Amino acid sequence: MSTAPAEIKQPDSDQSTRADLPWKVIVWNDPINTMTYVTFVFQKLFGYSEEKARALMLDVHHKGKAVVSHGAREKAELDVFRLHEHGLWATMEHDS
Amino acid sequence: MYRLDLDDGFRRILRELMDQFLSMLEDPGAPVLHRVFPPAYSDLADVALQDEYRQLMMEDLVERKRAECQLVVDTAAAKTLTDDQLLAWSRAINGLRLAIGTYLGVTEDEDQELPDSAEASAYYLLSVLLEEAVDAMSRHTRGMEIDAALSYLREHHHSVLITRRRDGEPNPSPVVHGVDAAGRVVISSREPAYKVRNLRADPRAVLCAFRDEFFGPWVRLSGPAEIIALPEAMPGLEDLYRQVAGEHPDWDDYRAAMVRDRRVLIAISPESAGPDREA
Repeated sequence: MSTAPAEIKQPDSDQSTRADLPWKVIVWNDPINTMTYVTFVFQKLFGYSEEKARALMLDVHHKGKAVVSHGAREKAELDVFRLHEHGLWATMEHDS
Repeated sequence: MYRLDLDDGFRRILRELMDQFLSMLEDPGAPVLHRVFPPAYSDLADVALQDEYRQLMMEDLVERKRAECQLVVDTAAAKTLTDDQLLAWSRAINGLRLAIGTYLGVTEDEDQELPDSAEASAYYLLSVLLEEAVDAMSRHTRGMEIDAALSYLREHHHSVLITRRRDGEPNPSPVVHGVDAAGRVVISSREPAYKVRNLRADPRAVLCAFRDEFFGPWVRLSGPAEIIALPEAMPGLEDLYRQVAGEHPDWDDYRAAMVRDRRVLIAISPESAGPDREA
């Protein structure tokens, strides 16, 4: 038990409303992951056809990044986790 | 199941590399592992969210990576691997590629020449192994999708066939299909039919099959079509009839009608199957 008075923090209202907005998961281009591996991971994780997965991979490759999924925060975090598990450079941000 | 065709020297090197990776994983925050355990939020300034993710997920990611590496070490001498094992191998191998690639400073430049070092050799070796693993798993997935589609097509015989006109425009028509012993989708048609003329010029065929009730599961199958004319087509046409309608009351009559009609057998060799899921 602390003897010092507890500090009351101003609730971060910005934080709580942001968390309710939908999120998007982005995969970024990197020089190490191969095109075939990235295509395969998109098929495996999201159930995309080979054609769709390849198109998405080419977007990542040529445009530098691509949105691979959207959803609530928990779903986006899970998708990011699974992508990280496979070595892909994925981040999540708010869907504007 | 996948057959693991690696020589003993290769297996030994792989085991050693994975042991090294396991040592590296004892310090997951090290800069060389930055690509293996990257940040989760695009907004790098959002330190609170990043920290939360790292606290919850990082330990799990590290544990899984360790388990994958250990699996490679434990199965390096195996003759076969299961689907799950080969996938775990791929993750372990790619994880190490990410670490070594970071260390070597690998760039997008296709003409980049890496130094003549043990690390560069390891990087190439792991890259080759990963490509082979992905190739095997992709072929396996493709095969499974086609098998599943053919199963469906053996049960449900109504579909729409899409062929291409000379100007490239798609041309659909409802058909009755079967599956032959060679695993090709077969359709009976006539020599003068548009679909036959289209396929002779452009063999690409796409089939969309569904239940008689229409609603429910459906399949797509694509592949090149061969047109088989009479007399070679007769056994195939009889087999197709049997699949769809059972024994014909008068096979002689049937055969005569086939000749009169100038019937042909369209045989599609499956190249890919779905349905596909959109993003």
